[in-house]
Amino acid sequence: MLRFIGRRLLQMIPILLVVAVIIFTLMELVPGDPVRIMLGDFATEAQVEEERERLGLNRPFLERFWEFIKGAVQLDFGVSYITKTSVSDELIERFPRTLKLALLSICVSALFGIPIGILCAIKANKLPDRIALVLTLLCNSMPSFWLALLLVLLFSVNLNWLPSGGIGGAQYYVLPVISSSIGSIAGIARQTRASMLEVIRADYITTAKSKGLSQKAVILKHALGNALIPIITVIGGQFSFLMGGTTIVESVYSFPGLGLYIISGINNRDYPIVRGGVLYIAFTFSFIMLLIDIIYAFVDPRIRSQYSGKKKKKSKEAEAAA
Amino acid sequence: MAGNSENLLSIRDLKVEYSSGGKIINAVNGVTLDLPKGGALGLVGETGAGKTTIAKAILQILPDHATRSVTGEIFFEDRDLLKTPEEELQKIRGGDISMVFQDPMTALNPIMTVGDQIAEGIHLHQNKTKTEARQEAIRMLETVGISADRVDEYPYQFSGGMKQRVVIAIALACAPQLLIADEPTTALDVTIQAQVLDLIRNLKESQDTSLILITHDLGVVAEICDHVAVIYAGEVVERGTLEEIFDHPTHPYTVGLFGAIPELHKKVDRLSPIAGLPPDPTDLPQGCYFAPRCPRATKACAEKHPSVKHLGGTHYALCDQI
Repeated sequence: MLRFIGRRLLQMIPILLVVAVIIFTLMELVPGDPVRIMLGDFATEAQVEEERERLGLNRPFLERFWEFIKGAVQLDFGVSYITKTSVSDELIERFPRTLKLALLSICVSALFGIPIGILCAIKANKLPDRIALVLTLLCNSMPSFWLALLLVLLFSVNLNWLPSGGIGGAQYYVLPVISSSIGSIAGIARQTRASMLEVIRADYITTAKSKGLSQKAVILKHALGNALIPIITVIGGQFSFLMGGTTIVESVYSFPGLGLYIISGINNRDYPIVRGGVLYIAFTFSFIMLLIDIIYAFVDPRIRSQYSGKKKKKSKEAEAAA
Repeated sequence: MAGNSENLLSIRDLKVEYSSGGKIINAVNGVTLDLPKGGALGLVGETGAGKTTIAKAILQILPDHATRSVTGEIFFEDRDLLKTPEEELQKIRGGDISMVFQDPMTALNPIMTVGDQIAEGIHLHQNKTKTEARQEAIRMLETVGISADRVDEYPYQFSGGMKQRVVIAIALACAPQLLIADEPTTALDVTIQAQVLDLIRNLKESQDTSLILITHDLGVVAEICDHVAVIYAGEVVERGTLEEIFDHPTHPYTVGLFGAIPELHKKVDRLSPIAGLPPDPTDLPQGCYFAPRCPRATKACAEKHPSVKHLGGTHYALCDQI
């Protein structure tokens, strides 16, 4: 297992390198000039040229790329063109906030989504299931910015219960967490329902019933464990999406997380922010996928045996030889 | 009307309907059966005749999503299982009545150790601690011929025959009064079949368990059972003791079944199967269900459903031409 984790961590290096090449090249190709954006429409050609020289934008492509890679391996993504602050420092400062928001949202989503999905599967095609299906479809297709605005309107403007944005105590997290969870709850509930329905009809569930177990024990002990793999996949995907910063939700609530930072970098053609941000997203994504694979191994002994299979076989052979 | 006290199990006029895609499937159509205490009853019939449905109806583990209605009476020790509340049934399942399933490949939970799967029922029914239940599970494993050190292994680490032994160990763990074995050897290769049958027979004798053996193999019935019921299109077409059925097969279908067995000492070019196919359970014929395939059918057979004839002793047949 440790060897597997080590190998996967090493595999991340080429992945991140490829991402770095792509993002660096793409940013060269997209229209829009950071200097023009910085200096505004009334800057003279000479001023623009001077600024380009100062930022090093006139140097050849490969030279600048090399500079970028050299910095990136030391986790130094340079200085923002606009704010003149270190991108790394800014990412590090914002990371805990986004992490907190993402963790809270994914926990809320799983805590509601999985039980709703299980109930739907048990009551499949009966009234509660149908109602839940319609509701989840609604939640899934509701744009999060629209929901976020409605929530602000209700809880901040009309009822004045919760702050409409910014950061501070726990109350500042309530609305952003709700906004980014609703869609995930629906997604997780639907996946749980589908996956449970498949498992509930399996022969080993009949075996479990024939032992005299209660329905609760059959569902929680025998069915859920076997239905978990696709559910974990969905949760992992949603978590890595949230870790990239839920841009829309962060914008609506002026939540100073990573999403807002990266989107401002893209709008301003602030290359260092975009590069640093995208590399961060690529890294968290690969890291979460690795975590998911490790969780798979805990859930399913057959997957676990693939990781430790070779070692075990070797030790058995050694036993046989001795 | 209570069942005869000499009988452990009495089924009266059992009917089971499934629904699938808007169609009603008449899986079991008025089955009446008796199983004396300590007896071994063989249910014989073609695939789809309703044998497994009868077994699952006894344990009340028919699939919820497909079952439309279950009517009739199933007396087990003077209580009608169809009228017994679910909590009571949970005590009976696995405790008093247990079942060995057809396909050992899918009958075990893939993510639970075999030891835990055996111990679960023991812990549930026999008021034993988890440790005691585990000890008992190890003893059961050894009883079915699997060494104790494999107790913490998972089903994927076992071969088909060994999985079926584990399934049998689960079923016999609580020393049930009635064991229902649903084609326990169908999915196994021939050399393993004999071992598994020997195992069932030995355990039946040593634990004084009554047995219902579902099979389409008349040879297996002759070896293990003392009573036989021949099932066709969800009906018992002939039942009696082993001698009554094997020495005096009376119903044309039973006669056909025996005719279809090749005899080793005679050289035959072709087997003599029963011509035609079983009727469509969504659209059963008006008269005798076997009439379209029956060599002795008359015009009346196709119009009027036959009545049960008593042929002496415990020998009954459902035919108007005898």
